[in-house]
Amino acid sequence: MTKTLTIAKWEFITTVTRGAFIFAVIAMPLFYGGMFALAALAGRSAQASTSRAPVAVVDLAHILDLSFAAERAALREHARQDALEQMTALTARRSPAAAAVSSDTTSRPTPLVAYPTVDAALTDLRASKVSSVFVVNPDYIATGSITSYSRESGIFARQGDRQRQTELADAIRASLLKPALAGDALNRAYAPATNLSRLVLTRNGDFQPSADDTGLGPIAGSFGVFMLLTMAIFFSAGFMQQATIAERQNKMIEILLSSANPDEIVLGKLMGLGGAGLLQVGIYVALVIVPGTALLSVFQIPALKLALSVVYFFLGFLTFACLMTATGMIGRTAQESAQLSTIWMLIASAPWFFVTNIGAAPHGVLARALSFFPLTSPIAMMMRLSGTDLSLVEVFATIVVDAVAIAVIFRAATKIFRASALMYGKRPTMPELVRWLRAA
Amino acid sequence: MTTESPPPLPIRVDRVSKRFDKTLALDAVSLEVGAGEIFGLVGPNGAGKTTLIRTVLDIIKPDSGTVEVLGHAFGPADRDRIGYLPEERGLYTRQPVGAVLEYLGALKGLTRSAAKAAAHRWLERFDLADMAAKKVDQLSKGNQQKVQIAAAFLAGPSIAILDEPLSGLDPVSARLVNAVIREYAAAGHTVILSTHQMNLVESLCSRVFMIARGRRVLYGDLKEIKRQHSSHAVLVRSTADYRACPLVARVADGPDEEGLVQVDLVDAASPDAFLAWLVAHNASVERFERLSAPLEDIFIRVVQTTAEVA
Repeated sequence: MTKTLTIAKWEFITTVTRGAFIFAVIAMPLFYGGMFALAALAGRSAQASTSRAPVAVVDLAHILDLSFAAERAALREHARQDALEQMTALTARRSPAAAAVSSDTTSRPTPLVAYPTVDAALTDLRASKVSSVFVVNPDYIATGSITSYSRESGIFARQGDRQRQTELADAIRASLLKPALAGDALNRAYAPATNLSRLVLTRNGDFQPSADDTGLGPIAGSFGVFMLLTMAIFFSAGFMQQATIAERQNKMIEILLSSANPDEIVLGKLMGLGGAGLLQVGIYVALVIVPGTALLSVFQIPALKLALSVVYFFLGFLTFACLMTATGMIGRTAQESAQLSTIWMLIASAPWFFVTNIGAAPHGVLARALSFFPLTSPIAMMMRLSGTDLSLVEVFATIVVDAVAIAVIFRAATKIFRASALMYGKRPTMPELVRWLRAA
Repeated sequence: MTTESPPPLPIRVDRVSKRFDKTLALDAVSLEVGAGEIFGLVGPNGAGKTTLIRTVLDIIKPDSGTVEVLGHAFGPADRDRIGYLPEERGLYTRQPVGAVLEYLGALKGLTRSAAKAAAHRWLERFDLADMAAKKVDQLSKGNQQKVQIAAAFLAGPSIAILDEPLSGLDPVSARLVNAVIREYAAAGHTVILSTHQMNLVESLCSRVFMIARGRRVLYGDLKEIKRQHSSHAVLVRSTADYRACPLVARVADGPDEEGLVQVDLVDAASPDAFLAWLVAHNASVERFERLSAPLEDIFIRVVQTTAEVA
């Protein structure tokens, strides 16, 4: 064990003090942070510019009451703001920091301006006084025919177009409903689902308000945290492969094998390089979730689920780190090893291809099959845990299966490590691999 | 009265065989290496030298036969007792020299402080003390080679196995390494020297093991091997007429600057018989020297013979 720890310490220190590691730890969060900030700024800027420019409406069908429509839109916006403030208050009680993240996500409605003629509207469009022109054609009631004129084109203009179309559709709906309905009935017909409460079934058979009702989108809550952990598996395991390749290129393996047995070497590397990978991922996760502890409390992830996810994270890391070690030893070059390792990445990613199916049927055959196949089990189980409650028997069974698989893969990795270590510049053939694995 | 048992042999290899696919890399190889000995391991490329070394180091498991280290079957602790300089050189090129040596020392069981002290001591011995803080790739190839040799001796192992220790070294460094090897053996440690440099074997080794095609072809005391493989030739300075002797096949044209004449004997004759003939014929013999074949000649002859037999 002393030699294992010596190797682990060396691998950890030499990795975390490497320029590339430090650069990755500092530069990647800065890069992605900068990209997100730029995207957010650009989004706000686009939204602001869209909302500043009014939309010209030429009502040739004479159905629109734009002042009434504006009044309805304001009422709807007010109701939406009330709901948002309630959510922000709930969030703030759990975490002030998260409240800062979730607040200020409003989008103001685009003002609609009536124009008497198409020519006048198009003149203002050419002069950039309006963002677009909608002509409600005379036969609209019979055909639904509307003509749209816009300055912008291409894929990036679609979101603005869609928003303006929604504003016009709301205005038409409000105007058409006005003669038929009044009061609350009109409000409900105009905005039928602005005050929705979500309740979910618990293990006790009760219904409780949804913990994910924070309005932070689909990656929020436990699913987002577990997704980060699954990404961390590949980060950490990737270190193992890189280091194994470097060791081979340095031709140090024979010296190591004369000083320690393959089990000690591979285990030491797993510990040291895994630690370095975990440190890197830990820093990323801390930066992403900061103020992380606050968000964890917001998401209200049950402690048992969080603990189990960490267990599956380590099982996944050990599985793929061992596989990466063996793959790193088989390739003749770094590129070749990296190419070979993509097969593990593809297999491990399988649960992500079936995320909809697993989400729809977390106790189904597919979900269970992926949970009991060692290469997909850690990620599939984290995925299922994030969306539903699982029986402890099933959890325990998958952990046992994964642990046994890790022992087998570790044994195979050390055999390949020992045998291929001495094959400088030569890739083993499949029969050779089989022979090594069968060797005592 | 107590009888002291002899100290265990540092290395004992008994009928070890190892096959890779269709190649028999080691064919029932046996040898023994004693304490304080500089033992030469020679053979042509692909003869099985590296396989034999890796088998002794337990990096490769033999198919049959046994390897004993210091009197017992190889155990985990024996890794700390054997220093190794492999033929495939390697170091952590981006790390400081001192740190690399300390790490390798720690892997051989030294404590952190002992590894640091040993690294300093060996770097000084190889005139590299001022290089400790430099990264390995900042050193010349020759100095990197010396660092690797230092790594093999670092933990003071009972046995040091050096594969081509002098390759890539300039004459000054080669002389330094030679001296270190001699000192190490003189201190009671065992050194196994695997090399193609026959002059190195002749100057350092007391016994040799020659392997060809996985088989032992020469083994034993170097002087005895040279004597056995020397040609039937002597160098003589005397008053005799050598051509009158029936044991003589050929006499060289003239004496050298020391007055010595090379006399080639017929196959059936021995130098001892020729000396007896000189004495019997009242020749005044001032000098009589058996002409010894260089190890390189013996090596080439044995390797060629092995190839012909195969």
